[in-house]
Amino acid sequence: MSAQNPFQDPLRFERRVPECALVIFGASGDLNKRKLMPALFRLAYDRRLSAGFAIIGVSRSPLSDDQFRERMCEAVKEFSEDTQFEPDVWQAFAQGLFYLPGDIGDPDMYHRLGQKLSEIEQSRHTGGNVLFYLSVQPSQYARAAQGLGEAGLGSGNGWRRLVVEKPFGHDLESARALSDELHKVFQESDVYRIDHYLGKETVQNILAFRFGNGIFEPLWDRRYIDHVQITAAESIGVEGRGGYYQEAGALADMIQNHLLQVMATIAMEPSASFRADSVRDERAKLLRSIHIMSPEEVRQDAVAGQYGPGRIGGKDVPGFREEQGVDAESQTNTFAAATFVVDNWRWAGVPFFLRTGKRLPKRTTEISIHFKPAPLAIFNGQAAQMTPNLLIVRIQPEEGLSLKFLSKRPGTGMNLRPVSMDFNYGSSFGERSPSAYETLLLDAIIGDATLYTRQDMVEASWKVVEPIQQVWHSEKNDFPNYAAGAWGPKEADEMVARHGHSWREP
Amino acid sequence: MGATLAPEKILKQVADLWVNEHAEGGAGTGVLRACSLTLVVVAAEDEDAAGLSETLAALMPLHPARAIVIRPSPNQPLGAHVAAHCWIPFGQKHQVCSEEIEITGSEGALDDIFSVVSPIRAPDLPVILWCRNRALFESASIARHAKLASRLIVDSAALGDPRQAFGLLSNLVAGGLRIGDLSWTGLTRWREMLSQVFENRKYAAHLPQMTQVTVTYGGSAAPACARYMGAWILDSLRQTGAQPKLDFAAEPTGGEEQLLAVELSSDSFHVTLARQGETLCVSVDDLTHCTNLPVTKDHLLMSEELEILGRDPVFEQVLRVAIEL
Repeated sequence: MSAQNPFQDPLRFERRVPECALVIFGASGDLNKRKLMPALFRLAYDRRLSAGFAIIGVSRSPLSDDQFRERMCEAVKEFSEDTQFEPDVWQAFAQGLFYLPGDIGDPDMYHRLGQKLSEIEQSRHTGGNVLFYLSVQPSQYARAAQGLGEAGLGSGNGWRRLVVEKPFGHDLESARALSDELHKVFQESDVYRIDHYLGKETVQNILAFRFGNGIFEPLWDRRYIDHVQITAAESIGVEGRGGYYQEAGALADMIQNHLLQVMATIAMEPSASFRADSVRDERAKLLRSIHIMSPEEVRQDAVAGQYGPGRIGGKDVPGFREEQGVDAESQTNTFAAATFVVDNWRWAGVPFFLRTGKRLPKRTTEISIHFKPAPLAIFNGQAAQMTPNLLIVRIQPEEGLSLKFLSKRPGTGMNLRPVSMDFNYGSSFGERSPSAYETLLLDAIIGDATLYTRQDMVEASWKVVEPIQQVWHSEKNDFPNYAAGAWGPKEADEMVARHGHSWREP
Repeated sequence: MGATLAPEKILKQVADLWVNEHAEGGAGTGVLRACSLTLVVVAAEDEDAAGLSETLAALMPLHPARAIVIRPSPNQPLGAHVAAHCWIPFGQKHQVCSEEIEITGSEGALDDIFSVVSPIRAPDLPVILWCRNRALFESASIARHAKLASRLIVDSAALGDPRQAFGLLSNLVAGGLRIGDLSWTGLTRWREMLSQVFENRKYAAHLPQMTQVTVTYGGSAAPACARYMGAWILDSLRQTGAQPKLDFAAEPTGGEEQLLAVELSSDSFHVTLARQGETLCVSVDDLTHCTNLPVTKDHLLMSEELEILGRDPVFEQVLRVAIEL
């Protein structure tokens, strides 16, 4: 029907946003306050939401609509990083905010939710479109889906979609079991598994960079690329999430989802179109092509680490085992590094080194693509010429791209030195980049699943990670094995060195 | 012998500028040269130089460009000088700079000046001509000068009688030029808000029955933006089979010449868009939704126009309708 809107101006207007109600389970939780509500308010501020857009917060706290609005107002004021708080915009936005107290395990809550949705459909003309967002403990996902199904909320006058946050299971079997539960109520095409890394502007830009330009793709294979490094480093510790993190660990929390998705985006084949399933098919194919390690290979090509006490920025910081809620003998990995190889023609023999960790020297996420050196050294005695060309994709902070190459130093001699050509997002495009949650929420409302993870991708990632997990769980690690503030354990350096390389220091 | 402009000399000044900027940037910080297009600006006869410079400084971080500013003034000898607009993006250490070339000369020397623009534009990048000069816009030579650019951008609000301005713009479009009008650009937020209403199929079903459109404006006569708005709504509704009546209503206390409100109505349905300070509120029957409506500034309007490098078919169609009002 929207095609019949004669007022559309695709050249100037943003994408069409349908009317809908967004139901947030876990509305009094941190994610909603810190990320979702500020992102939604920003969308309203930027006139990206439809006039009848409504939000129903569901949580156990006994609140009225007005009390919920007040709390969300405070959250928006506190956590909106770069959005001016306009009282008039808030007033209009808040008119669409509603609250329903209730427990996810209580069947009556779903019936009350159904009634509330019907009222909102009438009063705000949402056309029966509903996006359910599970911002709750992963162990409650299946129960929430079941409750929605039993109350008949999995279908209605309009579309029904379900957004779930990671982790999508804790291993392959549990990931499959979770999907089976969700699929009893929602079709796979209506399940949106959010991976906020994919919503980041630079990660999306990898697609533009690779497939919007003709000059890079011919270089994008084993003939020209020597190896790839992907680093996601955090300087902070577990910050009060010790209990959760102890169950997950760096491998499951970061590599299984974020970093393998980033790797898939870097290494996937060009898709035939930019349609959601076309892009996701290619990502999934790449994930399925990653070599599954044997236990012996895991011992060679995967390294677990856990930080001990250390000193960062002149301040003593505790080790992981000293963090609140963490077992004093914890075997949880707070650092994980692995060497993956892709078994396809494009990437055969090219190692992808992935590493992530907490309490590393600085917060940075980047991909560095190391090209092979020039085939012939014609500048005798110049060690510099052996420096390979590097393409660096900075995901955070200072999103951008850098290309490192050699140049002649001005002067009489033939002296080479590396120089860097930079593309900086903040410099070339002065406009503000939307937050990952703004992008992803809008995509889910519009029905664009390109940046969401599909079940087959989740399973393929678990197949890659599970053998590592099994070996690590079966053996006792000598933790802690790196000091807070260091770039991980020395075994990670040795792992890369066995392939003849060293980690790039971001 | 009179003064002349040598493109090589200007380009040499630009090159020297960058060497100096790098030297002044100091070790470790560096200067990033950014350029995504050439923006040729012809200043108005009575242009406030500082104001235009501020506008460009605000625009450069949004669309880094080689800005070529032409300042015609009586009896002014030909001359050129270059300068850099620099800024440091928040939280970053690199200074980002764009270059500005200012060319001065008498109005009679515009042909000479434009002959220099082509060789000094940034190669391989789009060229946009922003004409703020009424005399040039109304002259026969505008079509010729605008041919060097991918697009010509004007502001009909600054060109006197809107109907006369629409006529001139229409002739330029007919001549194959791609045109942008900042009076139209300023309506995007209004138009998008109205369009959003009719994304709802229930509301869209009322469109063919619309009988009345009222556009309310501040000032004494309907400004270009009000006429564009009326023309756009009229044209859009006609596509649904509706034949509404369009009225313009002056609001004498509405302050400066600006759009104040738009109403669309039928016997059973009513939509209003109204400016309320710095917010824009849309009311559909009894449901109201507001959004931020920042004060329109030239650099923001230009920023939107610089996103468009090709034709703007909706604008061209609205221009055709606006001439008939």
